[in-house]
Amino acid sequence: MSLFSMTLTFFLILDSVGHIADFNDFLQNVSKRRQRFILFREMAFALGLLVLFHYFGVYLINGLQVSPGTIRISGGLVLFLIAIKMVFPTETRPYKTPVGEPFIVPMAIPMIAGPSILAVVMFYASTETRSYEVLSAILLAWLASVSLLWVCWEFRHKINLKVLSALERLMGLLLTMLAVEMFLKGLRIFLWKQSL
Amino acid sequence: METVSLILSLALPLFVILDSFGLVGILAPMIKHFDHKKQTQILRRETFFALIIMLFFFACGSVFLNALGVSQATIQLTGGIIFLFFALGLLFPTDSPISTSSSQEPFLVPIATPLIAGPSCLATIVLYSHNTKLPAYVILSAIFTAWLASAIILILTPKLSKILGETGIKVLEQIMGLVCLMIAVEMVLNGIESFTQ
Repeated sequence: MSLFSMTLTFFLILDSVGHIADFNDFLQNVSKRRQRFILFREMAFALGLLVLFHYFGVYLINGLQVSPGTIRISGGLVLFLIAIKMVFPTETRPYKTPVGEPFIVPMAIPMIAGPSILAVVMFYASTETRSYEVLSAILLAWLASVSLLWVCWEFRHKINLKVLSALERLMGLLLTMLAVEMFLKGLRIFLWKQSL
Repeated sequence: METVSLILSLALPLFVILDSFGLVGILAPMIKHFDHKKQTQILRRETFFALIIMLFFFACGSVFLNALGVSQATIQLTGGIIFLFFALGLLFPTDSPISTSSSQEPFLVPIATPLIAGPSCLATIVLYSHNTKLPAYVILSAIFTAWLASAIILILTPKLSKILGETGIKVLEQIMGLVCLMIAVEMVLNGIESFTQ
């Protein structure tokens, strides 16, 4: 898994711009300057959690003593289900608008750092031999998400939701491809004992 | 004259792969919920999206796929699986694991891709772009010619719906669900074949 494809995966699952409409609802009662501060704070909390899970994932999955093929196949399956949800979206908005200012829940967790990205971080952390690559992929994806959110926040009322959902579907296709690739890699390792 | 025949010889396989006549039958029941004007609008938009995707793959398909570390087998499998989900939704409207409610307007997925710009079409385009003997404008005009011919046929779909009537479309939908399923399985099997090689 190259650094580029890992970064892309994290960036696509973080999906910061996809949440912009919900974030706008949450931050309606907050002053304009405070809005940006809260956005940054929540993103920072999410980053902290991702890095934490990166270390946690190495211990958890390596502690289970499963074969490398298993890790990749199950990681591919998890990623695949996330991606399919992006390609065929279902209309659900499970998060209630909090009273007053949002703090960690629901913005940082579970909207930005949801269970899906945490699972993927754990899988990558245990499959990659070079730990710093996963960490830098997390950091790069986070930086890209924050800056994109920062820019788009200005235009949040002008963003065409239809175009956004089309883009999301296209990104979902990419993610599906990465999931299938991960699955196939696991299968290759299992079938032909191919080297890592 | 030679260039023209070269363009046509490249465009013909692409046109066959695009399979617009087969697609008309699949598309007609898919957009039956919308009025005539809206149908034409959807088809115009989706064919245009398909062209953009095709051009994108011509320009940077191989570079992009290399950067992602994605193999040929993965592209075929992904196209097949996405299509499989869609076909299951068509056959079992309520029981499908992922709802592809047909009242929702189709947008990009599944018409533009993977139905029109499917994996085999994109793979062919990437193959063309690898061929260093062919100048870029020849390939581009071949892609455009094949696309234009298919798009014209596809945009005539609403006319077909009128001829068939409501019952005809319903029958077609059931049959096409099966056909879609088989195309999807075919794509998946092709993917498995290139995976095992």
